[in-house]
Amino acid sequence: MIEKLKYILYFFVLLLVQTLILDQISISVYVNAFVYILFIMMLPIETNKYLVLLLGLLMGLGVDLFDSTLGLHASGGVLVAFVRTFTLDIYSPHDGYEANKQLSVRNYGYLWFIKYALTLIIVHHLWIFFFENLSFANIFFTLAKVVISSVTSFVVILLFHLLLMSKK
Amino acid sequence: MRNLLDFVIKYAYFILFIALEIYCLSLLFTANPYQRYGFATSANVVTGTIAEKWAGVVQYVSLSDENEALKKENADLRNRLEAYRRSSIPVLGKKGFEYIAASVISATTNREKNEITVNAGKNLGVENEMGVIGRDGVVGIVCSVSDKYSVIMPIIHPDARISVKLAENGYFGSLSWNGRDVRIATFSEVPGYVDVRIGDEIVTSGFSAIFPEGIPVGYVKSFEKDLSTDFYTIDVELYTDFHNIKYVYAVRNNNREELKASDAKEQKKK
Repeated sequence: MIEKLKYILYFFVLLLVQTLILDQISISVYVNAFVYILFIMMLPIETNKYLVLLLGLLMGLGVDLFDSTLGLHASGGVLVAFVRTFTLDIYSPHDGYEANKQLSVRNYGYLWFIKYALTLIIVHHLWIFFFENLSFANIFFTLAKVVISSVTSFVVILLFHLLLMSKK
Repeated sequence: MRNLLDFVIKYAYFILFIALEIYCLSLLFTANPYQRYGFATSANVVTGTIAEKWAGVVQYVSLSDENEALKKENADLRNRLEAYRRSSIPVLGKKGFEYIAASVISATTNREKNEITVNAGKNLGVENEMGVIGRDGVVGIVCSVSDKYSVIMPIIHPDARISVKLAENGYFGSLSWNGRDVRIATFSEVPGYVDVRIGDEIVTSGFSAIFPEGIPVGYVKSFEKDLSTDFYTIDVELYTDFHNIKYVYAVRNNNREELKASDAKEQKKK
């Protein structure tokens, strides 16, 4: 129960950090940081995968309501939730994941986290920036944004992950 | 039937994923800035209120700077008012333009489709497609209004088109943004025989009835002539600093209804 409350709290903290702080900071059109997907990434391993999809949708819709980008981040959230299932399988440690053990740097190491987080971040950013732009005409511009923003997002996500979730 | 059921059960996860994506993307593609209804934007009560409270906290820190800027602007306006009293420029129409002040509660500048949310809505008389100006010049156009908040489509949004002209000689065209640099917009449709110089001021044309004539927008930073069409493409350095925009004025054109009515009559005659 307390575990559930904790994730509800993460949901709101990350949503507000995303929309009220990160989305208001603007360094360049190339530098966007999306921390909200950390919520989807870090849901407990035993979470029902259908529930993960719905939570991805909910998180994305939350961001969309603040940013007036109705549908954009909702679709990104659902995509991350979907891809998460397979990414977890691909990067599964030798002896598998343990239930009740948080998906964290602390439990599975930095290398695992980097691979797992970067995969989801890159998939998410490709999707978001493509649908934001909706053309292949600016493909190099879009790809440059994906690369630079992925690095930014990774740093911010790692920071919030260590801050919020890597205790215990 | 049995097979279909087996199929659905086997691929339920994938089917749900596809269904949700279709739902999300249909939301994305059906909502354009002018059509979106109040709830779905940052102008809705819940997100609007949260963003406003937060902006209040953040602004508290920069209050003294802001006061200083407001004082300067006030003095500048007093000077202009004085000059205006002495001159005898006729006022446009009978009712002219009115300005509605608003504070910015949320603004993006690093998106392809940027937007600004402000804390004035229908309650203060803000309406869709009103022009919005800031301390330094043109900011954008109102694209969605709720009771207490409205969303502005700034110049730095790919759908924003603003009718502008060269202050020097009155040649006009439209201003748009290419999505790269928030300080630079593109002024096109100026014919090649016009004399354009770096540093020339760009102001609103006043043709669209959204903005009064002559509101500063920016200045010519660089330009090049397209030899095949003999039109200029001019890069305009914008006066408005979108990174640091705290308050704006929505411009209500009290003659707009009449202008629209007469436009409609003209159309009929043709």
